[in-house]
Amino acid sequence: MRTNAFSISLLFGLLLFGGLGNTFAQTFDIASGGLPTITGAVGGSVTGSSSTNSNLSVTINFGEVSPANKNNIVKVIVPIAIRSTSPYKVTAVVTGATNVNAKARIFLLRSSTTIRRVCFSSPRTGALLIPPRSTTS
Amino acid sequence: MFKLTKFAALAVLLGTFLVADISAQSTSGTVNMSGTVSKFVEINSGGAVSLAGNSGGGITANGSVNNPLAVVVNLGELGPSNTSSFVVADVPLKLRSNAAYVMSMIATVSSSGTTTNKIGASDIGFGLGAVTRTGVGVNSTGTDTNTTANDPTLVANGSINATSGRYEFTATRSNLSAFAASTTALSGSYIMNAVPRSNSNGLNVPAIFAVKPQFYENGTTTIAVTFTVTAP
Repeated sequence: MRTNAFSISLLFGLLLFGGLGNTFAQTFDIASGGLPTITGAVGGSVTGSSSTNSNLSVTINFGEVSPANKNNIVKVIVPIAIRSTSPYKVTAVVTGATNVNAKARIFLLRSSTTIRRVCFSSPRTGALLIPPRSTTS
Repeated sequence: MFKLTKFAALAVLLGTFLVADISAQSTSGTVNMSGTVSKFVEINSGGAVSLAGNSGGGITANGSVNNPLAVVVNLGELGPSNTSSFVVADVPLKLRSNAAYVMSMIATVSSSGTTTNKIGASDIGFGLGAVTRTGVGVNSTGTDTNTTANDPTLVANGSINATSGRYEFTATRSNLSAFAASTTALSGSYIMNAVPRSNSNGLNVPAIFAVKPQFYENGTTTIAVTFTVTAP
């Protein structure tokens, strides 16, 4: 009898603990929102996952961005899925760019990035744009 | 004892779920980017051709700024009935590049005559005029090297041969015989700064061709000149 009472208490404790952990673990989440697309590229490519359950890990090759590329712009759209149980904010930082003028690249979040509360998957789409220029090589 | 073991196993299982749940969360993602800028050079027409001193003839296919260079000029009469000092065709060129460039030229001259009095390559004066780098987006501080003798009609570039009496373009690379094989006419540093292709500015330079009307052997002459720009 004492063993059963102890066991039930332990079970409730574990369930409560697990529930709390689950609550904290699901507060924020960012993942792939679908397959990225690229347009206007010459020799470029983009890789990513179409699964919204995958981590956001995208590799973009803009290809030729000299005047040899006669397109008006090279454009990549990276769908992003965000989930949270409380107000969220998406920030971005550029690292690893050497010998590059960051102003030459335009990053836009097509949807609102203002703080808001969302409970379930809420895909957002970012657009990465590079106009072909006669950059010195 | 058995029940205790079961609950311990249950605890481990729940713990595993919890760890798995935490590890499934991702609060950051990465987008890695790369691109390529290849060397780029181009030559186009710099505008309309001007023809002066001609008797007959005319511009068959004119130049149109920023369009491919495909000019056809009929120099007209080049015999002594043309009393002009020179027949001069001025062909504007426009070059653009994102790297150091070299513009070379090759020319072929063919006349129907059979004697040394026919028009030859050395009778076609040639030179590049003033080079200008102006306009938004142009590397205005870049430098250029003109290997020709400029305007072939300049007094310093030609004279009458005291022995033969024939007028000759005597300065270095002042006539088309110097370009029987591909030869550098102009070179320089990169022309354009980082601007879109739609920017229409560039380096402008006139290619000047001149013929002194003389008692050449009668017949017809054809002249073909090809400019090529490279980024070595």
